[in-house]
Amino acid sequence: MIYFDNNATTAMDPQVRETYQEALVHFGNPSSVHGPGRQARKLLNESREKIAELLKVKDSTLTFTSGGTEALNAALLGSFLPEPGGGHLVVSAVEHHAVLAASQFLERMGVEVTRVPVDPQGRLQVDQVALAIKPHTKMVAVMWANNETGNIYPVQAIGALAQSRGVLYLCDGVQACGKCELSLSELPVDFFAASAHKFHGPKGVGLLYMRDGLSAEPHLWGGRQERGRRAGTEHLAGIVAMAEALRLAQSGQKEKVLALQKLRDRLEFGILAEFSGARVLGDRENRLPGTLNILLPGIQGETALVNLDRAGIAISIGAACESGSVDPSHVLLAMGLEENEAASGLRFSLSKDNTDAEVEVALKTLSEVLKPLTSSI
Amino acid sequence: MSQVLDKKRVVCAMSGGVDSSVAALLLKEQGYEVIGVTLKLWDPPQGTTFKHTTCCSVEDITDARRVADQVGIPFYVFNSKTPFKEQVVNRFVDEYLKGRTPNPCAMCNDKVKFSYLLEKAYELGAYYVATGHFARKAWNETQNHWELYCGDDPKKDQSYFLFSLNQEQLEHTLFPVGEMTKEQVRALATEHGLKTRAKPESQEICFVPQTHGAFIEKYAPDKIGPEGDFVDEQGQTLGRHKGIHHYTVGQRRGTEVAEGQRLYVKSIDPKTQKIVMGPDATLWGNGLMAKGVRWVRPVMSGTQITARIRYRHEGAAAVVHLDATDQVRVEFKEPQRAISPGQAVVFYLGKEVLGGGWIERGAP
Repeated sequence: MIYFDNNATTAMDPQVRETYQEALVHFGNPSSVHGPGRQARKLLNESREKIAELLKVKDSTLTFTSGGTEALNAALLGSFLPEPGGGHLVVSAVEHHAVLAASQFLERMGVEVTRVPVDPQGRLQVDQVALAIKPHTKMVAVMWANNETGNIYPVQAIGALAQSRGVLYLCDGVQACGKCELSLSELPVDFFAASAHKFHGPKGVGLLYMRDGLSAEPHLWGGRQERGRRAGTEHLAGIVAMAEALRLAQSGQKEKVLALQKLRDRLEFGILAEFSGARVLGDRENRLPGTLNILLPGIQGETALVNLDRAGIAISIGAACESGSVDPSHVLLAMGLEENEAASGLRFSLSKDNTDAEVEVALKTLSEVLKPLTSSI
Repeated sequence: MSQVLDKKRVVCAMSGGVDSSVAALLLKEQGYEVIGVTLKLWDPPQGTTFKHTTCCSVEDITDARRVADQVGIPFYVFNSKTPFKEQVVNRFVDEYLKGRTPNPCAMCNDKVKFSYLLEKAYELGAYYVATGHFARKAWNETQNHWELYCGDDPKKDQSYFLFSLNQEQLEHTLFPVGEMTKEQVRALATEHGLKTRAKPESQEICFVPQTHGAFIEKYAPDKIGPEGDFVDEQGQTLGRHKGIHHYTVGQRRGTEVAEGQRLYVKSIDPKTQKIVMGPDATLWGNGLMAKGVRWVRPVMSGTQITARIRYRHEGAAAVVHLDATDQVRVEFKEPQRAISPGQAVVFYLGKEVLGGGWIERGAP
């Protein structure tokens, strides 16, 4: 199986897996006072320090969560719910469902929500965000990089805008973390979310960065873990493994990003050469290195996905729903695509695990499997 | 499309019910390369008490997926909401608004299962689509064409819903449970421990959780007609009704019967929104006219056949007269009750399905 769905999840790095397994030995509860507890607490603190150093932030700004969705919900609900019926939230139309669905919930709770549109390449104009900010706006949420198109958004400019207008900035960094250069303390970002399994770490663990001095109400209530910000016994082995995964992702990152970009471009040019009329979706000038979303003329997303799966290539399309059927992608719809097109953008997301040889095989398979579906239309 | 179709590859439509589960199992045992597919036709209303009673619920799809795992076949869900909405649900609603009684299952077979899904199967290189319908097909060597027959279980026969299948569709269709009884299907599912072995029968109209009237009011609130009058055959007003979309021909009027005899819906006039009521004796008709007629095996005008005018109708001896290419008149030997415009009339010769059409109107 050639795995080209790394924006959905990545395989755990063997070294991370080893770290994870070693950490499982430490069964103590980090909140316990005794020896095993202290040992666990030590590992937890070391991991927090390690991640803080990698993200260039103070360790006290990091809260461990069960993943990106929880981190984003914590920032949104924790900022808005304490003031019932109040406030205004600005989100981009292409945010992940973790932000969009949570903002819909907040809307039902009386929060006013404005969704900022994107252009046909999925780009967001900072001016449009500025126009959306009102006197009672509390927060702006614009992701660092989009999971479907790979588009990278102007975090610096949006953060600066938010700061100048006295508004909080929530940045969903789930796709960026491990792939982009992150120096959070130098950026005007108030909240930042990441998830370990997107950068070859384990599933079920993530983090929320909250700028020093900021506070938000907890979204989970119980014990005093994570300085009272997130109740519940920590997923210690996961956190230890996440720290190691982030270290590995960031070591030699520049070279890895270039190599990944080269690999993606090879796939992209190969497909464009083979399928006349193919259209790359998103901002080709400013994308994540491993992401390619492409529309092939006359090819339905569902059948392409199934045919490729059966031929041993894993990709994704649209937005998976609860039942496992695929709805048109809200991101592609926001870019102005027709419903049918928005369910047919084929997303290839590559990682360090993919090779030149895989790209070659994939190009050959794509041609064999999908070409017959395009001809004589 | 130049996709090569593989005669050993079959897309099995799996609803999450026991019949299609067993269909998948049988095909796998017969050595086919089976791809299980559930068509996601409809989003059941969220947060309502009907959640578990409509089709395409997460539970049904989870069941289909589990059965596919048990049988050992790959499984996918295809989003078919757009064709279903356009070809089935919208037409269902429009028919009721015109005072007719639609048959959405036959529409769905025609426009979705054996057309949309068949196209998908072709795109996957599969020669066949299989379903869990209780029906059979047979190749007629001398005539060189496919014939369609009732399923062998008389209680479960679903051939009525399949009258519109053409030769290409029949060529590319498999009915693996057509020669079984429901009891045998359940027994086989039980023997193999399939998750759906004890699942109750699905309801008649999969997307309508309550009454069709309530569904239409919710689905098309701006299209429904106003309240109107119940009238008798002489045009005398008998009372008020809730809007014609609530009623079907042959239905007994609620509880407000004051005339001393039971009254039934005799006809519905969408122009005046009036519903004509009459005693049972006035509901019986000697014939009908049908449009959109299609033949699996064409017959000569004047042929004696058996006609079924609704799914649960046992069939009545009749003569069919061909009026135009797709239009027929049917004369029954004995009068039939509640001939409902919008329903399918399906023609049989013994167990064989000859064809059918959509009832346009009854004839006196």
